Amino acid sequence: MKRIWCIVTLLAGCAVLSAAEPHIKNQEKEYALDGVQIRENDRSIQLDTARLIYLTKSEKDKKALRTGKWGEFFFGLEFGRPVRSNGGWSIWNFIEIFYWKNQRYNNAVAQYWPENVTLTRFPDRTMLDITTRLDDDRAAGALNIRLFQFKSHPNWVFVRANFESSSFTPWRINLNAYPGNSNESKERERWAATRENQYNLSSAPAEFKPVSPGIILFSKFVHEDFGNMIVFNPDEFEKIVFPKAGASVSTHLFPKKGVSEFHFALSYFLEKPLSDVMPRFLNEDADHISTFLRGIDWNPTPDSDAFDKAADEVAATLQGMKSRGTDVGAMEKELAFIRAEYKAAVERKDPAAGASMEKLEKMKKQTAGAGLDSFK
Amino acid sequence: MCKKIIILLLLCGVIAPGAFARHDGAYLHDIKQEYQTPYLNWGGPLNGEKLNVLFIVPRQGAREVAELVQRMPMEYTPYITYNQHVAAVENMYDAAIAGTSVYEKKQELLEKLKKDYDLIVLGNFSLTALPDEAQYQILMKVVNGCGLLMVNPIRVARLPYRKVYENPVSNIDFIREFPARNLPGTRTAPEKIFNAWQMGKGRVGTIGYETRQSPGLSLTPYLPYSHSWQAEYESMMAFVARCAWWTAKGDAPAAYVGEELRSAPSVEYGSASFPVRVDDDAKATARIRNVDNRVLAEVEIRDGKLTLPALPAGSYYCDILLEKDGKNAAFGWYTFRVASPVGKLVLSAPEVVDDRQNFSGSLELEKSYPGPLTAVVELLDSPYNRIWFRNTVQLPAGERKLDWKIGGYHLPTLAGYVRIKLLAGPSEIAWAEQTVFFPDYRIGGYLQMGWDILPESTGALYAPQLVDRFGWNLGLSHPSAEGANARVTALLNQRFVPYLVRVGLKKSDTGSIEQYSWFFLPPALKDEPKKLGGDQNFYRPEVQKLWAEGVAHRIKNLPKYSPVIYNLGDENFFSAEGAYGPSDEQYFREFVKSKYGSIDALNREWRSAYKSFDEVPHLSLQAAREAGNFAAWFDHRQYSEKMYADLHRFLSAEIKKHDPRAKVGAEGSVPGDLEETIDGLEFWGPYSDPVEDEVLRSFGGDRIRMLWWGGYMSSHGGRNQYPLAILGDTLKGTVNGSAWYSTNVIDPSTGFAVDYSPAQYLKNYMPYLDKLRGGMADLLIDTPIKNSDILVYWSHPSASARLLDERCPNPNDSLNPLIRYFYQRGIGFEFVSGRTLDRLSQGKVLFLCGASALNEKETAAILDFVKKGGTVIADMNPAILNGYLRPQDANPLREIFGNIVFKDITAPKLLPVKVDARLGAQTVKFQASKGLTASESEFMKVKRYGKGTAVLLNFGLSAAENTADPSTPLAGFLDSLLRGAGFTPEYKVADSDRSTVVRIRSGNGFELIGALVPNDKVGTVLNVQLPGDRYIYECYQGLVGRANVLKMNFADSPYRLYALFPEKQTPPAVTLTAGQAKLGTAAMLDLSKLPAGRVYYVRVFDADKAEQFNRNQVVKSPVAGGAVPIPLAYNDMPGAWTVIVMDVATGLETELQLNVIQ
Repeated sequence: MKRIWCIVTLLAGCAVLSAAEPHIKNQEKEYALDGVQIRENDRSIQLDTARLIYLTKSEKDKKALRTGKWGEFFFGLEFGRPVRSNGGWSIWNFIEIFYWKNQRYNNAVAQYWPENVTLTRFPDRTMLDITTRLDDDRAAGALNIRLFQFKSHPNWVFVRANFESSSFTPWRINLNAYPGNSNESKERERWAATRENQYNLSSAPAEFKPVSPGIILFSKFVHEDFGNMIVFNPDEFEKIVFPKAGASVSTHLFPKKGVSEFHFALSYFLEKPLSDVMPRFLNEDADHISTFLRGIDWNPTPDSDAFDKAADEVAATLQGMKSRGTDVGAMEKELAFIRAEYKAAVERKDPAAGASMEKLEKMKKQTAGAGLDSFK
Repeated sequence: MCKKIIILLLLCGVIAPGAFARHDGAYLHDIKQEYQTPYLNWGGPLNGEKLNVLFIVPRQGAREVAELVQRMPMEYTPYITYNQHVAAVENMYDAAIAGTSVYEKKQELLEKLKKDYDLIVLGNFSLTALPDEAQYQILMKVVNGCGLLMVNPIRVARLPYRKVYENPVSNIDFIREFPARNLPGTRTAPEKIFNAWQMGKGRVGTIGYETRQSPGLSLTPYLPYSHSWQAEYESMMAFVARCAWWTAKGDAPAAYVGEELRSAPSVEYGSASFPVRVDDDAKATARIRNVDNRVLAEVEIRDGKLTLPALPAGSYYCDILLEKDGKNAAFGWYTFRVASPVGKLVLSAPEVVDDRQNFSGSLELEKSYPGPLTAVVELLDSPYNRIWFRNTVQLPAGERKLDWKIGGYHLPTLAGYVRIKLLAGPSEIAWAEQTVFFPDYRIGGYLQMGWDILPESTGALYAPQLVDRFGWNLGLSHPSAEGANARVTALLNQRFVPYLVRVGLKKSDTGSIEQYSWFFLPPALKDEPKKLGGDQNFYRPEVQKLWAEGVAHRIKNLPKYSPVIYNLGDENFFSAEGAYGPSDEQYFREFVKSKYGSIDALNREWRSAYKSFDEVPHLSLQAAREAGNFAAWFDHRQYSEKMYADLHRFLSAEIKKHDPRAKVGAEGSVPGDLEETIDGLEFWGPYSDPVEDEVLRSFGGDRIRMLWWGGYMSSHGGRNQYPLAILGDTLKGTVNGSAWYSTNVIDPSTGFAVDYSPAQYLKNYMPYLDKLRGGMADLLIDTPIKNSDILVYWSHPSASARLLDERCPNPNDSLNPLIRYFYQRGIGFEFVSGRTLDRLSQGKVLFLCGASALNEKETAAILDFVKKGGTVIADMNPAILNGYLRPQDANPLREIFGNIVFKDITAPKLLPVKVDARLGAQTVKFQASKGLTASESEFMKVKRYGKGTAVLLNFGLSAAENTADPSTPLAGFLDSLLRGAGFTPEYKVADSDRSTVVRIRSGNGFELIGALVPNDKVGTVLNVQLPGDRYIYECYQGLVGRANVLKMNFADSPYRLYALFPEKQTPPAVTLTAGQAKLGTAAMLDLSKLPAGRVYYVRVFDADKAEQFNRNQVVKSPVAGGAVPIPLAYNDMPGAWTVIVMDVATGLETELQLNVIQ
């Protein structure tokens, strides 16, 4: 089967999309602050059911991000957030990937302007791809974070973090959440559980070697019906540490030596009894999601055969309509145009190929609808 | 001002197939003819032409396509939708199976629509639920000459396409080849059921039966299951076949019509004839069948006349088959009745007969018969129609009432039929029948349960596969109103396991406890729970009343239908954080009063000074812990756990009020305090947890223990290459039954394909599952695990204490690696707990893992154990709390472990561990880069006490196992510890993978050694040094040889089971007491010479050499009376039968011949 890699990038456009439709909303601005010209991009990236909040600021013409003050950088995940709260996955920094550089540990996610932020829709999933460099010297490597939301798993976000560098190695990955809410609550206890153990994180930190693939984060005494779940691959990590928890619960995953690509699935539970959710997740669903996670093809390839098949189907429909006396001349011309447009785009390795596919899909639906109308 | 940029999304093409490592989906997408059910021959394809058909049917209705194709062979392409509403669903379960997503199903259909078809059948699925492209293509195919047949058990909704209905077709000839009215299950004339239109070159037909939806339907109407279901179904299949042919091809090559027969005439007893007009050039045959679907006669229709043979009174089908030029030219059927010369017969029989007792009834004749009659009283089993009892009673001339009795009968099923035939001389003139249920609560050894039951509409098609061939004869389901679905399963010989309630105690908004759902209440009480205001503490009488009402509502009629187990729920749960409601104040106080006995005792543990229990506050878990009042914390947890356990016990008692024979329990559930929870229950299934499963094995006794394993796509080992989960669990002894999720073909977890053939992955398991069913599992269940004098302490309070303070280690941290070690070395062990301290007298080595909380009795018993010569090995911080979880001021085990006191110690830390010590004469060495340890330097303390020894390791085994230095693996360390304790294994298992499970059992004169290795160890050999030369038999296989080393060769399988004997074994010394047996009697299989304590598998083959799966039996010696019967029904096949008896342990067989005569 002939497959063509279609490099899909962002195109400025004017399509009006509903809030629920996957899209990226960029709010870019430049302004002066304390005599320094600041460049800012506040992205709201809507996946299928999750939203990414990605705020970056830097001095104009510099690639290194400003992160010194709160509000200068966010990489948050709004996913299963309890109403009227800032709880759930951290809407400020749900993932941090630390590596050693310049005599300190740096969060790779918050180092540089992204080189690429791409949202792509496939029939079965939505893909968000973010690439950011690790050093001023581009040759030092890059971090690629790829998020998938599958139609089959609307309550899960699948994450791959690929730390590609010959100069640096990943040290620790933090996954940050506020099960239930982000506030400080005297009565509340923060807990984490695996199939093997439960940890009262309000009382003490915890450390363990991962065995089973699921972690559930929850609270006791307050917000008991809310929590967050992590599925990961235990083979990728040497140990997992939970620091003593205050408002947030931070899961620190320490990679095994030589491992530079990490896979997670993130989820949540809302208004469900923990005593029901937890055993089901730890004993059953975590395995299920783990198997799915391991089976994901993280590099889905657009398929030209699919385009040709779809175009042939449209042509067949038009032929049928023609035989029943419908004038389809204009539509035939349009189909020919889309075919040519697609072919040219593929030859140029132009992302417009994706747009042609979308046009074809629309035409397919329209022609079928028109064909059915002829029976009405 | 911000600049807003909307990003255009790009829709890319499909991703490459195989993007996910998903399970093969063939079992959800294909319909094959591999699994055949009984059916009648309708003459083959009309005109010799096989139609080329695209069937679009839901998963649950797919079997009907196979049924149709059996009767009218055709080329066909199946397109299987998720259900009758949508082609596919997006969820995490279906997503694990290839080809099931919405997108994939759409592409599959569009691909299939590229082919040409004679006919497209939409069976119980609407055209408008298909994608627009597919709808359009289908309609265009019709315009171009393809037929489109839409079937619905109720009515086919009118399509929004006017042109489809422009040219109706009336007076369709083939309709007259069926009765004019009342097709089975329907109340409508066929002309109204089948409607048709011409569109372009093609035809559109609709079949709307005006019945109702029922799982399993796609082509036929809802037919309530009864003894006449098979005949009705056969008839409706023929009707559908003719509708399909006509829609595709038009009129058949020939036609017939019997106008009189069309009206379902009634004729007097004796021969009768009817005019049937047949096309001149066709040869017509009539086939007469009764309501059992048994063909009684075939006669040729000559000169336009059908002459019937003399038939007893009753209803009949008259099939008519035309042949022209040597090919099938038409087929159909009519019905008629033969009136009884004695009028209506009223047969009275009990609805239920318990314990196979003798029973009686009467038969009343509406009209007397002038001559003497002979009444033949028969008892048939359901659904097989085998006659197990027959007796004749004379009825004098003119007598109108007959009293009958049935006794001394064998009935192997859950239901049957009393049938009485009246004979005048040799001729049967009338008959009557009554259904009788025979509740059977006997539970054999190894049970096999499926999630879900046989569907009413197609259960008779599924039962031969599910119940007979596979033996999954227990089905779990919610009972329907009045137990109607249980009635159907009993008729199909499937044992119903009612999902009666589900216990789910969650914390309510008010801090109390509330049941998560009261789905099991009768409709009139649905609002009652709301009135409790979120305070649904089980101890409240009004709450108990509701639970009791729920049980009473759901259990109606069930005891009649052999509910072999009553299930109180799957994934039951409770919240220890709740139960702080208004009513809890009273009940909590009652609990602590009962627990402590006196306020002084409570004050001692709480370090309080209350004057009476009325003053005792119900502290929140948090407040209790923060106040350092661990006893109060534990009291609340125990109160919650007890409430959970008491609720289960209460429900069990309620059920037993309605059904005293009931076996009650729950499965896949949070245990709470396991020993407490299962007390009073006969059945329990925990989640798959290595420790908890072993605790249940050790304390559970003969309780039914099952874990759901098969079918799961990604968990429970449900889709491994081998059925490791059930092999492992039966080998370990943690289960005594198999539970498969699921048997409903709509569920992607199904073990069976949509056509009821086994899915490929289940086929791969069959060699293993068949052996387990055929005695291997029973051999494992009945042969006790070899006693190694090793005990492991189980302390539920300690398991709770680990939630309280880090100084209290998690018992599982050491128990998991310890149990793995025992498995690896084939060392048997039992648990001992505060409730079973007497077990200490049976052991020599005791492991104390995370036993931080022990009461006085326990510590005294442990000291006594050591004093008498035992060796106790503890990991960390034993007995720092007492049984109430109050920190001890002085450690009660200080004499053996030193005075480890809660307030003086810190939380264990992960530190390097190094042991270099001596235990007895044994040097013990161990080194690990990290172990969770309570000491920074002293990792093994040995102390002699009395005649025994105490060892304190001061570290947990889990992290130490993972980071052990390769020169000192944990298993080697534990070996040396046990050697130091004087334990020498009788069977020495060579070093193996740490996931290997070896279990050694001790039988009567033999030992059983089984092993299971992980997938990646298939192809390896594992040696076991035996204590001497043994005759080695591979169970189910035969003699391997004589040796002092057992070489377990996992060449082609991860599982091996051997039996070792000091002497050579011979095939089972069994005989048939007589070489021949008469139908209606039983051949007796003499087993009196067999050694006791063995398991035999008796297989029976009829004269056609067909294995009689539902007569095979697992027999355990000795058997009462020394013999087992092989009953023969009156209507069994006479001839040379074969009986094969296999000694499961040795695999040796004896084959016997049985001459069955009439």
